[in-house]
Amino acid sequence: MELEAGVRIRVAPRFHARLAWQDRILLNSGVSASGPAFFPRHDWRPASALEAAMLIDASVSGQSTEALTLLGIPAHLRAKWWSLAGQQEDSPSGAEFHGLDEFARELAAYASFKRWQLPSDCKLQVIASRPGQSSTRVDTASSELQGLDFNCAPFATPGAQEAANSPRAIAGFNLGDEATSLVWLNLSTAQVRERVGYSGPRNDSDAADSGTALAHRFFAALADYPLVRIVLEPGEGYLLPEGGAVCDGYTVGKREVDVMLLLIPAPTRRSG
Amino acid sequence: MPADKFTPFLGPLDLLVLQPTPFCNLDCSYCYLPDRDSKKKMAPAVLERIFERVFSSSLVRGQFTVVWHAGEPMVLPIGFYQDALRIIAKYNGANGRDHAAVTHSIQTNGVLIDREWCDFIERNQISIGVSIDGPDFLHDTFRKTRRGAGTHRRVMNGIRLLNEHEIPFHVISVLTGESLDYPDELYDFYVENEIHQLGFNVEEVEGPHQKSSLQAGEIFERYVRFMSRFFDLVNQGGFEIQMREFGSTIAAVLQAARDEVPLSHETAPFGIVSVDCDGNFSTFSPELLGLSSPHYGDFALGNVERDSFESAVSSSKFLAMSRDIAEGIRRCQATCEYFRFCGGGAPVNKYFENGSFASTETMFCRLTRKAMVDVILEKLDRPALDAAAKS
Repeated sequence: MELEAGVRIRVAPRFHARLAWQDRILLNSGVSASGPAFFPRHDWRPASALEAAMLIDASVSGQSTEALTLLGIPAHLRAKWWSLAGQQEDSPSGAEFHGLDEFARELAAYASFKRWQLPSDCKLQVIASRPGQSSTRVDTASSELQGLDFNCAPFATPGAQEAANSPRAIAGFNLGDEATSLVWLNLSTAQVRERVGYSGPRNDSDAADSGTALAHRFFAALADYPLVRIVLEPGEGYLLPEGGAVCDGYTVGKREVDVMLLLIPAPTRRSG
Repeated sequence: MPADKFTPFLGPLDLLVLQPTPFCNLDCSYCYLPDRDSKKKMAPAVLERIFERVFSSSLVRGQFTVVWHAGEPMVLPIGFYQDALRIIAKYNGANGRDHAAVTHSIQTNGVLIDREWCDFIERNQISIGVSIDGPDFLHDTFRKTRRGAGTHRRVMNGIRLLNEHEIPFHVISVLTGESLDYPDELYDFYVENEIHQLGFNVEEVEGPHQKSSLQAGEIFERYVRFMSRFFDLVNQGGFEIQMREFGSTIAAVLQAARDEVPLSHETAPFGIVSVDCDGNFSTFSPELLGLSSPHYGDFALGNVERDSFESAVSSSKFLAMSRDIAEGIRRCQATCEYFRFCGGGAPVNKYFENGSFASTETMFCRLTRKAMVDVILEKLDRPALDAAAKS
């Protein structure tokens, strides 16, 4: 299958992305199913000129809520995180993470200077993943990898998302010293729905899983649709489009533990 | 004017800025030097005459710094500077005069620093300033070779050698419109490369560089935001950075709290003396020497071969420049609420931005004085300032 024009990738204003696009963006031939989950195939290749033109928005006119935005945090903030994490290691298990509020304030001050529109009220979550995984979503009950899914599920109410432990991160930053990757489906929620004819949950109790259901219907029907792999260097991150996106972390090829800082909007932000 | 009638308020000499060659091996797009293609160099006889004049003048009172600057000083061989040190030793304290404490400073683009230079710098305790505009994506936009390639990698090699030799150095970074968006990235760069002493210059309008990226709209606000953010980073981080502009502005604010107006070095006649490779000399802003104007012609006030510094005081050009600069200061005093923090601005910027020394506000002073004072006053609380002023 060929890539379709959909959501584009944009570099946040006032952010310098060092990596050239040809080294940052790779495509593959779609997904493989494993049980109920879907994982990206590993046949990554550089984007063609046509694909790159479809994916990259070189405009510098400002941040767009309809694009996937590349951004990053400075080295001194990353160092601060690791310093805090180091102090935490010496604390008893379950102790309060001292300094996290201050770190969050500094992160907010940095984003404010850059005039980035990050959610004003959000939780920080840090996810550590082993190298070599084709997904960084883990079912907390079974410890199984969950594979590709919607972040900020298009139908779920905030309460239902909370209850179902549904992935809600709208932004993530690579805290590690090694590059990591985000695997992403470049189609908007509306495009995904249109392709599979899925109009949403039948009732509220299904709402929490409706994003997952939509993503799985899409991959079951269009397993060969190319996915996009976005390489994120240390400190770099992404901000998803406001309508949510199908995506997952990807640590295949890494040598070190993958550590991502996720920004999760407060439940009141999204209304399904 | 004969030397014996030399006006005693001139000087004392603080900076002797020597331009051993106008040539620069780089071709930075914001450079103000008109003759940076010229490979002329200062002859030994000129060098000898400069120091003979300096040490026989009444300008030397105690200590001063020789700044080797403009074009790139390191394109000349080390032997040139060894000769200069010998000549200074020969004239310093000669004829029964007091021995002056002379320190040396080289401001370099850094690409020619090698082990031999490091040994020379170390042996002679020369203060080194390296011009680097931060990370490569900012630096390489402007600081280029004559073939248009970026120079960051080569400058970083020089900095690495200085660090290996444990030679302390300071960095001067030129701020452009682009760099105002990147205070965190600049801070990270200085931390990563262990740069503890820093000065920010602004992309000025001078000589052939007639348009600056800092002349765009909203620059003042962006500059204030940048400096405010950088101030916070320096003060919250665990890495010590002595930032020239923060230090000098805090000092000016404290002086103002004691009702003292800071002296501008660039407006004090013969506090700064600049000499080019042909022996022409000038005073006030160092950048003036080598530039020219329809009003004054070039800004040279004499030549060490035939003129003493004292004799230049009676020249019509010096008198006209002094009069106009003094008038500019008077107008600043009469019209600018920041005068008490500044003392009257930089003549070279007034001339090349406003067309006259007898003028007031410039882009340079809006950013480097007004914006800085605004930032410092916002950051420092008033009781702390008052307490510091009294101490």
